[in-house]
Amino acid sequence: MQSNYPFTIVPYEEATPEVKLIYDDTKRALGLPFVLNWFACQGSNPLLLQGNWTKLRTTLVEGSVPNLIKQLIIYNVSAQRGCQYCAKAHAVFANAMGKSLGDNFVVTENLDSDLIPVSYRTAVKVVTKAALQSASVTATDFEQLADAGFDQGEIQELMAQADLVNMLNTIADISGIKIDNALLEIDS
Amino acid sequence: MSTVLAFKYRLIYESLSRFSSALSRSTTLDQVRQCLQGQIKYLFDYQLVRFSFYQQGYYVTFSLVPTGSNVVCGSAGLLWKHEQILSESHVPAILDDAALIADSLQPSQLRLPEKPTQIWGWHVAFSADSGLIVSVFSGGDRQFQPADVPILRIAVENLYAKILSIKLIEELGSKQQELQLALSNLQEKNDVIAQLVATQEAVIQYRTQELEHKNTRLLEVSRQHAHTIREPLSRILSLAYLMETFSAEEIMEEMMPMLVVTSHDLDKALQQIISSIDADLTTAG
Amino acid sequence: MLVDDSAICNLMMKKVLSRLFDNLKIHDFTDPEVAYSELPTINPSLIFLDLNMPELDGWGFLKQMQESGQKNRVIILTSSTSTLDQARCASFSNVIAYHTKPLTQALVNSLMQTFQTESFSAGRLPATP
Repeated sequence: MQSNYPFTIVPYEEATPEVKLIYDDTKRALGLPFVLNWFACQGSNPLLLQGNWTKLRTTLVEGSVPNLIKQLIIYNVSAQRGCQYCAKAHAVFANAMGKSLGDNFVVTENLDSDLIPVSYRTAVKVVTKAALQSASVTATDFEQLADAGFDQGEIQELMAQADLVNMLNTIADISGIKIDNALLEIDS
Repeated sequence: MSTVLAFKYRLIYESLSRFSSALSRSTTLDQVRQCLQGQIKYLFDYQLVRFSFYQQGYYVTFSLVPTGSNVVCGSAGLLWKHEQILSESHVPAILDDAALIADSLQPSQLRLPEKPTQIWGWHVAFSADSGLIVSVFSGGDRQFQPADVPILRIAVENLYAKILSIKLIEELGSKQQELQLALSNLQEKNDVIAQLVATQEAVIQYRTQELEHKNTRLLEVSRQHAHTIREPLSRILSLAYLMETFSAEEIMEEMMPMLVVTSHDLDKALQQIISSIDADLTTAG
Repeated sequence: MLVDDSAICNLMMKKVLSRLFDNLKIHDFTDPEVAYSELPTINPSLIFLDLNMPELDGWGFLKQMQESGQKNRVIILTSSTSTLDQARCASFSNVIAYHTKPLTQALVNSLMQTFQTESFSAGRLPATP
């Protein structure tokens, strides 16, 4: 599927200087020594690449909500939707920060456990719903987040993960990229 | 370890490190309150948490619910009912007496999500007169659990160290202000003394000048007096010296009358001087 | 010319001098102002001047002479033993001697000597006794 026009993988070595600058920025921000396929498949269009990277960085990498919650949300949504690239990649990101959760680990099931703080459970539950069934989000969902201790800024940041993961999944799915070998090596 | 517990600690591991770094960036008690408000929800569940710091009769209490928080400084009177019990007993306890819970919550101005059914309480003494009384009001959907105890313990140790350092910095700051004040007081006194000394110097200089002036005047006066006396005296001496070169007749007829007149002149001069000195003494007295 | 506010002093000097010089013409004044006004008329070969006098004192007299360019020789004859006064006389070139009273025989002798020397050098030798 990699031959599908126009999503040609542009490796770092073949990228224009302008694209190389963006590639370098992704490596720096994510702490990775290589360019993810998700970025490389957009390397032929610097304008879109820049815009999508900016959206990803400001929503997922920066902000005040713990990155782990965001990674769990993206993993959870991607897994439920069936986007293999994103599910795998974000499981690795979540795991890379600590102990491996194991291959058959299903976050949503464990998230339901009383052992996990309400803040995590509520955030993953509400934002997953917002991503997969955006139209069904009501005031009650926001109240739940507030009751879990999230303030207005944090709620906005959490909800932004819903539209981010939809973009991530869409690009990954339609470009047909496969999981990066280097990423798999990190997880093993 | 069960998968879910592994997952929990996986979450908490990151949350604790976030809590620690947010806490270390706080430099005021209100920043500490904001840090607690933002971070504790990622560590464990609660209806309300109380952190009551004390040191030598000085208290700082943080009250925290998921949707709000406050910090108050003051005396032992800030302690809630259950905290007074913990304060004395030092024994960790899970209190489920509904009347006590209601009693304890009476001073609280925060809205709890649900009615708590338990208070988990510790009195952690870090020194003879300083420590932290921590209590978690648990119940409903927000149950505090045994697995949360080590997490709370780490948070409490971090928090205590932070409050202590803020308090120390404040004390140092106020000590420094006191020193600054004392220093400026000293400076003022020094200025006053310097001014006094300067005035004294001026007075001394003035007096010295006055004395010098008087001294000069005294010398002038005595010189004047000496002249006044010496003039007739030298005449008398002249007459005496010349006497031998003159004849008896000349002496009797010319020199003797001169001698009489000049002797009178001398007497007059002396009287004049005495009365002038008398006058000076009278005015000076 | 004798200038001394004490008439007795003048009298004594006159007596001494007239004993020494027979034909000497002596003008004596107790008022220095009058003496100064007579100075050009008399044009004395020597002036005996007292220092301590009321109104115009010896210094004032000397100063006036200096200012009007009168070069008549002056011998100071004063009861003041002050070294300050003596030093001050040096600033007047026509003062040839400074003597303090009382008049003694020795002083008179020395005055006489000075007088003769001065008169000689000035070419106006009075009659010798």
